[in-house]
Amino acid sequence: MTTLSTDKLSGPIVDTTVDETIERPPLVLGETDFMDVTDSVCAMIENKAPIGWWLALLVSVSLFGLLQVLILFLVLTGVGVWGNNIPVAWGFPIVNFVFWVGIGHAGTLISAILYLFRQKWRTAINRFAEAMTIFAVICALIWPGIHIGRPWLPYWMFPYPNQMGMWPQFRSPLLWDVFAVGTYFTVSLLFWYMGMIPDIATLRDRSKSKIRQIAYGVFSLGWRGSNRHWHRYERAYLLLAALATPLVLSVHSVVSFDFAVSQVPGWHSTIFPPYFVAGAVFGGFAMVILLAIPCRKWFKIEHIITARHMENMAKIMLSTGLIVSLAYATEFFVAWYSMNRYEQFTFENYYTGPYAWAFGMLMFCNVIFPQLLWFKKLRNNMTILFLASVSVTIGMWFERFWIIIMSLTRDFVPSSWGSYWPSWVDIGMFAGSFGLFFTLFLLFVRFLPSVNMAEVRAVMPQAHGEGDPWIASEVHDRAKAMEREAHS
Amino acid sequence: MSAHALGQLDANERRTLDAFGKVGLVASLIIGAVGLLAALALSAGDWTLFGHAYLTGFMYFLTVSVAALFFVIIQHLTRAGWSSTIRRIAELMAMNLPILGILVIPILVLHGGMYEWVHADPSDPVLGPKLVWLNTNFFVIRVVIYFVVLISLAYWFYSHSIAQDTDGDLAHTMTMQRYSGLMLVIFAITGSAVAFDLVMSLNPEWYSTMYAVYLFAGGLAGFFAWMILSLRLLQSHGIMTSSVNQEHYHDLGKWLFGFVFFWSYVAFSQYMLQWYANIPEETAWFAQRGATTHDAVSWTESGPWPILALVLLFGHSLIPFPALLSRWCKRILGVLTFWAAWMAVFHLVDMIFVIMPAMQMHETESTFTMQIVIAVCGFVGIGGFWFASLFWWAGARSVMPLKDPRIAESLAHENY
Repeated sequence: MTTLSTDKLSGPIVDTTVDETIERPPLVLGETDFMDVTDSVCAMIENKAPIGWWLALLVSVSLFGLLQVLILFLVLTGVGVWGNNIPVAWGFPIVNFVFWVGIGHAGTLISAILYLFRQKWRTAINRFAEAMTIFAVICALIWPGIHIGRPWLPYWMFPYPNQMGMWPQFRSPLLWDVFAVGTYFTVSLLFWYMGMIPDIATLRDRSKSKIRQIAYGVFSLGWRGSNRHWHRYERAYLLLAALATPLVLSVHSVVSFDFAVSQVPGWHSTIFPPYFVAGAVFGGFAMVILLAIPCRKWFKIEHIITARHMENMAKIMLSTGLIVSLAYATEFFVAWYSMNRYEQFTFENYYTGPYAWAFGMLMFCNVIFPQLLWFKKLRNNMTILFLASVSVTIGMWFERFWIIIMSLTRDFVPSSWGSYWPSWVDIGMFAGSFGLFFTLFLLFVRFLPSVNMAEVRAVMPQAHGEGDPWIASEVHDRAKAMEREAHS
Repeated sequence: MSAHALGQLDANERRTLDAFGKVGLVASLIIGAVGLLAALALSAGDWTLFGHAYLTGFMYFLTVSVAALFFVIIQHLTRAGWSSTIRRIAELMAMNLPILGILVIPILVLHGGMYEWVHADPSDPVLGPKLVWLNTNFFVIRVVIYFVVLISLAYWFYSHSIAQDTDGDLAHTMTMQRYSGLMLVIFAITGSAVAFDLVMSLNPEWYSTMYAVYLFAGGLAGFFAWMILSLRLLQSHGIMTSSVNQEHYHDLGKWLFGFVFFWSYVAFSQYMLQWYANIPEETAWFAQRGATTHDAVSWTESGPWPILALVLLFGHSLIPFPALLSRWCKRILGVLTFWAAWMAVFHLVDMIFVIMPAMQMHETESTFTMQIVIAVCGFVGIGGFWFASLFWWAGARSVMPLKDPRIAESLAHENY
């Protein structure tokens, strides 16, 4: 059962990226039936891992090891090992924190907002996008945790009654961040795990080894697929989707408040909340595409994550990128329009100051290069799409570098100006955080179902009886009839 | 649900306005004329007051029409199926941009008494350098450009949709889909600039990067409210009775709820960030509107504006949010209509809150009550002409894009 029968995949090849007016392109390609979907997805776990997976894991685990060693070094030595200084008290750690939290936004957008918008294509990508979200938030949470000076006391960030008579500062957006990111992580984790229960049960039932049977058995919480189970599952899913939707907005809005409530030129801008959210989705989708391109190829699931899925993601990335570009333009215009000399200086400093190269990098990666995706040919070319996603990932990191470092090095009074350069520990830790992220992700694709099999089966035509308007077979016939009528 | 089969057009359904349209056109024109005349009479030669009231009504309907254009573009961009039967109403609302392009002329004529920058001293350290942007000639040129661009976009979609009514050619749909992305980019840039120029520059020292998003969010809430009200009005006159059903209302209700939430999010962010940083140049705008916790601006000094600010907070956000949360509120048409009417009213409160307090920068003897009354007259006046234009564009045409390829999908649409 573990090998995929290739003849089933060589059914009529449909180019789903061609837009038609009446036909809604199929979401799963080939003459695939329910069993094929299960086989293809479970094969990722049950087959031997491709050599590429082992190599990737080796690199990732090494980098993760580097991160752990460097954290130990930091704790033993102190934050002086970083490049942080005064005035740049928020250096790489906060740049990386915002970067990773941002990456984590795509998962919730796909699983909650696209669900509420009835975008059924999301079923093929939601699971691993959600997993990516959780891993990205884990990577993000490390930074404030080790940035607090005494990293053995992170629980002081939480309001709990204590004999010191000490409460956190509720008026600080940094504390709101603790709640916002904490809530986001909890809800995302619940959503991800709950959605996975039926699929874990499938894995349990297919497992041949005792260990797997017990492990998957425990995590499938006794799922038997009865009607009652499905009913409760669907209700819970909808509720969690509704709860997760405002979280997509809230997390990065609160992160943006960390900056925007201050008076620092370049930070104090009212557009920050929606602009940060758009940027986060932009960067998040880049990461989803970055992971999807190799995964669908290596694990042979190109009939489930089809070219159209990739194209849709490219379009979302392009549109959020344009929102971000409009926000940049608005910020520049209003900085001039404000006639506030500090604002104006800060914005001039972006392209004339010592970090102009970083600003140029940001503009090229975030604004210019992704415009290639306007062209259908280019966005359907996986190499170009991959490069665009790499470009956006780099660009979104530089955006945070731009906001944090450039504003802090040049604020109101020239006597308090400074400069910033990361130390080798900063760079090593940043690389190490990628190690953690990819280690978790690589383990995920080998041990948990990366595609939501239950949902993908539900969007296939076979799941719908005749006359069901959802798949619109009957409606489709009528539309065709109307079209013929219109032309005659 | 009607008795005919799912996804099939009801042959007996009325889809043209006929006599109702003619009566509506005349009645709207009369209401519009009466509203504007009342505003003129009540302002008694105070052109600044009249100008602000006029602008309040004008911006109300401009934001609704611009939001309608956004809705049309986004339906094509996402190849939406559910909305085919109701899309024509939005197309017609967007086609009210030409009448608004005519109605903007009095603002250009009266702008000297309304926009403080017209009289700014070029040596003023803040306003002086801004006069490169904020000067009469450039202002008029920009406003003309904005309207030419917005009207062209609206007309382009409208003409394709109308042409499809007769030839049924699928190429129209394909063309609109293909260019909708580009159109959205042009729309976003123009829409932002309109907000900055026509409204934000009433307080020329003040600035907020969020401002265009704020007006856009409020406009969309107003648009979905009027969309629901218009469909209810048409159906009560026996038009589109089976093509538009509870499912479409439910989705419109979701959109309305979504933009009540989004407006609250944007309004809160804009307010909180400026309140928190407490920079005098920024908080002055909120202080002028009574939305401040600062002791220096006491109740008596700013007049009753603090009450209006609180009314806006509760009426535009805190009350409709829980009210529209439930699925049933969006599916029971009477309840949904009530909340749509509520939001249509509170979009006006929002526009009054944004525009009328700028009067305080000019010498005026009018009282708060008088300012509100005249602003409402301005709203009725512009609204009358806006609806007259709506009836005129609808004319003898079908108010549904009958040969849209996704009509069948829209007719069979179901929320699950």
